[in-house]
Amino acid sequence: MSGAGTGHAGNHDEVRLLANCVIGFGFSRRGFQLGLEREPHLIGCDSGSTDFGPAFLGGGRDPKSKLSSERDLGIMLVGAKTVEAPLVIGSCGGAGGAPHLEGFRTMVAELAGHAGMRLKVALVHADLDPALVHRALDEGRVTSLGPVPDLTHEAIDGSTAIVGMLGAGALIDALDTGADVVLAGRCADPAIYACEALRRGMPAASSWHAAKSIDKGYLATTEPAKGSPVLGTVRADHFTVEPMLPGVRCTTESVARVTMHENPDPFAIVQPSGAIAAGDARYEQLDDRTVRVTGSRFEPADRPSIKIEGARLVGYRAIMIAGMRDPRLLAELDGFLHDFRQLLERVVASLGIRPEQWSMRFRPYGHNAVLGDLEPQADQPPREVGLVVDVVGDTEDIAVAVAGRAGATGSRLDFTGKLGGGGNFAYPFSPNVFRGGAVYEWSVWHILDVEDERDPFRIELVEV
Amino acid sequence: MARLADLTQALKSANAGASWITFDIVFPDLATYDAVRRSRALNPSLFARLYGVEATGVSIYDCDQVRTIKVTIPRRTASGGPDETDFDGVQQFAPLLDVEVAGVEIPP
Repeated sequence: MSGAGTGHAGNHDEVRLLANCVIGFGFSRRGFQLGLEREPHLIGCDSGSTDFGPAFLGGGRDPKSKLSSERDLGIMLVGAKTVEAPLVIGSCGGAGGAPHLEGFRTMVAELAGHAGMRLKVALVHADLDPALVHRALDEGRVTSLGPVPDLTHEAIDGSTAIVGMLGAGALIDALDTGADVVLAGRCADPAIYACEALRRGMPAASSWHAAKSIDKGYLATTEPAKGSPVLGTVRADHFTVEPMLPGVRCTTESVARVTMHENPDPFAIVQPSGAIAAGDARYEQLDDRTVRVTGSRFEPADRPSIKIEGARLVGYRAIMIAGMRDPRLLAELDGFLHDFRQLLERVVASLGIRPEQWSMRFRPYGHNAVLGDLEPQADQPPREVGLVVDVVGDTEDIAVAVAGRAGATGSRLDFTGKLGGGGNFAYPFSPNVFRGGAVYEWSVWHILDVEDERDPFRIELVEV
Repeated sequence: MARLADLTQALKSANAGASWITFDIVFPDLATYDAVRRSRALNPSLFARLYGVEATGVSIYDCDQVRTIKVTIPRRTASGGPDETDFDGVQQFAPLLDVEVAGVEIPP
């Protein structure tokens, strides 16, 4: 009953790929049902991103709630089984590490149980053994991805988790097992879709560019708020993209823009096995809601490479939130914050906490908190400021102790001699100190050269 | 003089991974797009000045098909660590709004 590898669709002149965007952020159930009627060869959905920051890889957490993910996953599992198409989920659990994949395996098992389904699940593990990365570093096979420091053995050892971004190769192997569901660790978004087109013999050019054009689901449409899913149809010399929900349209512009989205170079989107070259692609409006794309290219890499990501623990966060409205204070806010910091440092020292055990950032929302020293209008006095005192300590106790003294210290700081017993801070919350948990930063953000793009990844088959 | 905010259909920023911020500067018609391109107002030194990065690290792409000038700059804090103020990079376009472009008419 497996959808993959059985050639049930018969007609291989085209490969139909049904694409949602991100698990846990929702999609149209009606649009999905209409998509199923088109008998897709593969149903796909991304589940992760590094956009949420390093804390989710580092801490093994999912940025989306289980409740949201279950809704989306449940609909797709049942739908995929109904039309016997494999379901491929990329970057499971947000960061695609070992705990994330395990979380999704459990969720799929529970959902399959509720629906009375037996499923063959292929897990594609993307977490990397640090020893493999150490060895690659010694062999000169690791380079920085953009303006980040060279990788060091210390950075590898200091990482709580390292993942590799898998490409189409590992997913093709997973589909070849006949799995109903492929749960992938950290994964390049286009690979989720390109794998099935490539597996069915479509050329790399139309397969990869089609995959890239649909991998953001709704973004390929004119109505992003209700657009997912979209259907990509890959043929030998072109592909088409269309939305599934009636009343939603794909236009030449809406489709062309997806290829540019969040890519540093719009003309070369790098994948483990090569680059999607969309610079010469032609977009034409086939009907009022479908776009046809020709002239795509795929430039195979001389040697495959894998993006690797790692996160390391920096400390533990506590924040204090307060509002400020006094125009006299706001007129000299920078001076006030300077005095506040000095006074708080003395207070913290009196608690026996050493300077190297904590750090603090003032985030005065309303006064350059977003752009910082890049703010072009920095000299305009704000009317009201929301101050976030952001403390990172070696332990949570230290962070909470510092943030806990910030309120009283700053609120009573007499900045003009006119305070007279009042306070500087308006508190919207009780308590006004919040624990932010573990804080991480990217420790590995590099490119790993490999013999075969499948090498670092391991496939595990389970029945649920 | 026309501001970029008046000349564009969309002006947005986003992170492109942890290493880069990328700007999509979209014009409402081909004439405005071409005029802004010819003006060379959007050049590496401008981005170096506004965003505190080296001009040599600024890449500019003309995407004729979608009337978009795309600019990619390195992130100053690629670590995503405690100093980050905008993980997605989606509010970093703001300094571009008031950039003045000489000799280009505001589109109707």
